[in-house]
Amino acid sequence: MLQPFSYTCPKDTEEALVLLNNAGARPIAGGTDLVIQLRAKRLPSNPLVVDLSHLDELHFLAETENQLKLGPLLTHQELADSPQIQQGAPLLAQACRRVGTPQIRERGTLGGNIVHASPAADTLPPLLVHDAFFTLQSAYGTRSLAANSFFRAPYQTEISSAELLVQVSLQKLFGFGFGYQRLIRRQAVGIARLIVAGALLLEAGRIREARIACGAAAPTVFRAHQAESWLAGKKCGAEIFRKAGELVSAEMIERSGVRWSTPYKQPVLATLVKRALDQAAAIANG
Amino acid sequence: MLNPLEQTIISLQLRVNGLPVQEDVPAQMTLLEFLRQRLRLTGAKEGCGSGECGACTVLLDGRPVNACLVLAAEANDAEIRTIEGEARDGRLTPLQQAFIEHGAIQCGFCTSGMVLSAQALLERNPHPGREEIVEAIAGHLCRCTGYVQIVEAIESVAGKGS
Amino acid sequence: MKYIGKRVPEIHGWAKVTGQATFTDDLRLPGMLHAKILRSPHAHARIRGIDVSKVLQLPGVVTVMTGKDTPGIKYVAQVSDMYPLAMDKVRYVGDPVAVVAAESEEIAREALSLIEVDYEVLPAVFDPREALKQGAPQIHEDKANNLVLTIKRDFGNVDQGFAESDFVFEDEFSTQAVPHCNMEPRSSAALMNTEGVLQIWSGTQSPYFVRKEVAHVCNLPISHVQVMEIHCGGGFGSRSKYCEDEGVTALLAIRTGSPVRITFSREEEMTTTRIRHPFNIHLKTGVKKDGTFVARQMDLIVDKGAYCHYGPAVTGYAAGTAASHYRVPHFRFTGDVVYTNKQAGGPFRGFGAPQAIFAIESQMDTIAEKLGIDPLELRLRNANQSGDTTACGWQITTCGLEECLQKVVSSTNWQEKWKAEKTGRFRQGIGLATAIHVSGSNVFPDGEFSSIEIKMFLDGQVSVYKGSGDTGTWANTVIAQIVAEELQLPMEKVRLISMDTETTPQSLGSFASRVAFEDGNAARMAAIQLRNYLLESASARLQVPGEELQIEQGQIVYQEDAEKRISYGDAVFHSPRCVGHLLNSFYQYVPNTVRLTPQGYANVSAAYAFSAQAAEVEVDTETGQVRVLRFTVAQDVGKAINPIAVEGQIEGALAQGMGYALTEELIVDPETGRVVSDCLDRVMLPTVMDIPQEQIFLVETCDPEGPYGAKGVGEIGLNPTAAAIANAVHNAVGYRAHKLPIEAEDVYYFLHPEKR
Repeated sequence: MLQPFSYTCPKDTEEALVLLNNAGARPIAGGTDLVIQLRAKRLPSNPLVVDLSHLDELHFLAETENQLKLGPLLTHQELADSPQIQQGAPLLAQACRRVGTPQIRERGTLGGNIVHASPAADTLPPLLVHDAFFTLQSAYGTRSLAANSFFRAPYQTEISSAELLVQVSLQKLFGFGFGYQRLIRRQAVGIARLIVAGALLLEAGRIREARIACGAAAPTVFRAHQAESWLAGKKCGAEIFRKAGELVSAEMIERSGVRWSTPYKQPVLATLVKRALDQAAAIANG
Repeated sequence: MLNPLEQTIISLQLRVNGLPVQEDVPAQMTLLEFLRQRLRLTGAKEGCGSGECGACTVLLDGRPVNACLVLAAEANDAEIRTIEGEARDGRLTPLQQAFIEHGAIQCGFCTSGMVLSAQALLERNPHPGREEIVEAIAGHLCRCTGYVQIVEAIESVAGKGS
Repeated sequence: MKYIGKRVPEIHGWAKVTGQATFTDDLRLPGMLHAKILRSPHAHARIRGIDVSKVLQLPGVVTVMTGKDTPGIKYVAQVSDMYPLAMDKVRYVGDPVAVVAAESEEIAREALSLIEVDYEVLPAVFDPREALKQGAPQIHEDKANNLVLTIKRDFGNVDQGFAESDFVFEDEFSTQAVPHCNMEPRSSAALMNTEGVLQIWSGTQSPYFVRKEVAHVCNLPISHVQVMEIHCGGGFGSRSKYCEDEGVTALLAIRTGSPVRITFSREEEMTTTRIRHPFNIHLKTGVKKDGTFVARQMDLIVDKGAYCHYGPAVTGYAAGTAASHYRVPHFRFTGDVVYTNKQAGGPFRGFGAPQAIFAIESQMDTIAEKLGIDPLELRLRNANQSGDTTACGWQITTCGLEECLQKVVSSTNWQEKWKAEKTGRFRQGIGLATAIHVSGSNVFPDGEFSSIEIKMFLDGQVSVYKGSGDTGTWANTVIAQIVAEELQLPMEKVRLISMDTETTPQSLGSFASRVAFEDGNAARMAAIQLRNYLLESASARLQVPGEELQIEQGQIVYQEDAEKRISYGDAVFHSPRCVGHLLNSFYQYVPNTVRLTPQGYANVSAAYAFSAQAAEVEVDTETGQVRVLRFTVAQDVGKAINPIAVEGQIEGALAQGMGYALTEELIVDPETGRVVSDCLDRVMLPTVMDIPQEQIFLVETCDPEGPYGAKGVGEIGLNPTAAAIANAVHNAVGYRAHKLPIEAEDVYYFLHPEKR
């Protein structure tokens, strides 16, 4: 059985925010991470578990001209199956299809995946590519944070315990091609060893804009800005993509330092970046 | 306001295998514990307690979930299906029959969950291809069969009927 | 034949597919207590004292027990070295120290935190080579240098053999620890009944060994322990003899007078049960120019972990395999079985053979390459043949090895794929490997026997009593098929009762690929005897000669005049042997084998099975990742009594073999000795999405000793798989794996040495 906790099922976000103001309050949505922590008895004693799963107002998918607005309670399966996501954020749809197992995808939510902040979380690199920002609400107000500055360390984010992630906004990327690569040990269930999400906007064979995000490579998911700016204006090609991969690997080492796995991950991350950019370029070229 | 030191008791109302169930449960009871201990439906098994094996899989509103990761409280108002509800009046479902005929069962510990995930797939899509079948049961570990006969069993049903 | 060789469904299928099959953790015994074990956080420590005084103050706690509260008797095992609960020392992280029984599992778990153990932490050693050195921490007082024992074999004249060889090859290999990962975490329940009989439920492969060990550690007469029938969620060797929790559960049941159950968490299952032993292997082989083997020497260091369990037997079986796999006239072996401060090894499908065969079959390809001989040709040249006696005395009555090899090669287009040029980012390769395995093995002082009893009732139906367990391998189904065949009864009229040591006759257990073979022979003979009783009774009743009677679906019919017939039930009723309205038949099968001697020369099994496997892989040269694309297997099964069951065994073994080759590893922190890969996500057994295409051929050599010609099939499917994959990787990119698992990093560094 799980460690003892109090449980409450608020009727709306407002009530949830009041409850989350209690010390030791923890929101639960799909439960795929929280229940594991409760079973391992890793939370401070007697937390107040605030069940959000019935809050329909946090479960939505809306679109504006330039943005996709996602409710944090959308499950991975819903995102993977959604034609709007497949169209507007194919990297996210693809990433959601690879999360854990079908059972986890049915329960696990976008919001949970973000707030849990595993360095290897599948949804995060696509969110970074889309310059996502997160709307955080508390009993005292609302603020927005860019995904790129949200993650502080493994399993640590800028969200405070009284705040709730209430919306994820994705910038639509018109005309981009996308590429997604993972290094895995087995085909299902496993946690990825490296994730690369890439997007390219081309203009007359040259790269107008490149976006590259990496997961599982460093303490937090990150955008490879140096490689991105280096790519801008260059012509697509194997050598360019290879070089971009090397730059991304260098950024990984800047962030994570040299570890026992670095001699392997350094070249392999470069390879995955190259493959993701190859894919993206092929799609962008139509 | 709740006193956080008090153990919360939840009044649950749900349907299990088509029958209404009403029970008071402690908040920290998982759906798996509720089914196994309170309702004595022991077909769902605890293989890992962390969503890694799939042996505890049941259908929650028609969707496969790891009952070990769902709070019983979260199943309030839900429709739960367990393996015990699949065969009716002593008649196996075509999928259960296929599992037996194709040798998809060895020790049987993963079988309940495997059958339910496959059943949910067939209800969503009566004619899934091999790839969909494989994806649908990818959240179930089996150490005995090597999966071949399980996939064959599901394929045999997927190919049949309208 | 009506039932033999047919795709008969699993007799427990209905119960399992409806969720009705009862496993130990599903049991509800009235007033049952739940217990949890307190385990050592240290790899090596002396216990100075244990304070349990706070525990009993916790409401709901019924008892707490430490080693001092037990009779203080060690398990028998092969080398008796482990108490049910530690007495004075702990020797690995996870060693059981105390146990609490309470009204609920939660209370028991909570209570563990109230036990105060005063440890004097001792230096620990985790590498067996370090453990053998002078001055290494001594793990067991009576074993200097941590050497449990050295298994030695010396057949022929090895030195002369090497001298006469044209080439001598020497290689080092190492293999990893792997937990069994049965889907059912271990669970055992026990109660002391009003007769003073301790009843115990445990999903075991061998009720025989459980009864023996539980009676021993509880200091009970063996007649007062009864192992009960229960389903088992996967064995693979992990439950093949006894499990240490069974003794603890039993001791608690005696102490409390209540039913007690201990169910392991997944973490306990992964970090405290008996795993596959890591081997360090030195393999030296002498060959003639034409590839003929002359001499082989294998030297092992077996990482035993903290306790012996069945380590010597596993090591001895590796020796038998190495002496017998291919024709080798001169053979020498040393196996140092060495204690370390880690989770102990035990039996695991293949019993030492997969490790030995990984080395032998890997080196085989190296030899072929060096001599410029086709790897297939080299294998055929040295293949065992029917009528051979191997270096260690295994007498091979029938041998399908050559046929298996040819079958695999012809159906994979092997020659072409082997020789194909390998270029590009993704490179494909194909690899061959073969194996030999026993069908039962006469190695224990307990003997080698299987017994079956059949009772036919007045309704003409039978109950079959079988002493060994069925861990999901369809062993019970196969035995029921044999009885159905001999008595010409439909399957649904054959009821199978297994495992219950009070009602079923003696069998050693379900391990060593022995049940279909040995229990099968016992079942066949018991059924034939029962049939003869029926014919004898019918003959007297119908006044016709017995040899002119035929049995069919519950009736005994006179061939000359079909009007003259009686039902089985009537034949039972009128039989002079009928007692209490039933007819009883019993048969004990003792195979014609020789008990293994300390020198290791004996024909330990009545039949030997063979297998050839081809693995086809694709290597990503930019990441080093290996993906298996296809397995092709031809296995000499003697006779497939039930082809679905046999194919299921082979497919399951392939998946385990693939995991062994590529992903599965129990990783221990070299500083603390704590298991890092303590969950299923970290050991990474294959998922359905990892399974490649598979093609399986059953080669039927019809062994004269096997029931209907059958041989053992349970283990051999895993024995060559890792080697076949390793050889395929070498064929694809030239990387020769000297250790398992084959990791992407190692392949990558081989291809890009400048990156290391």
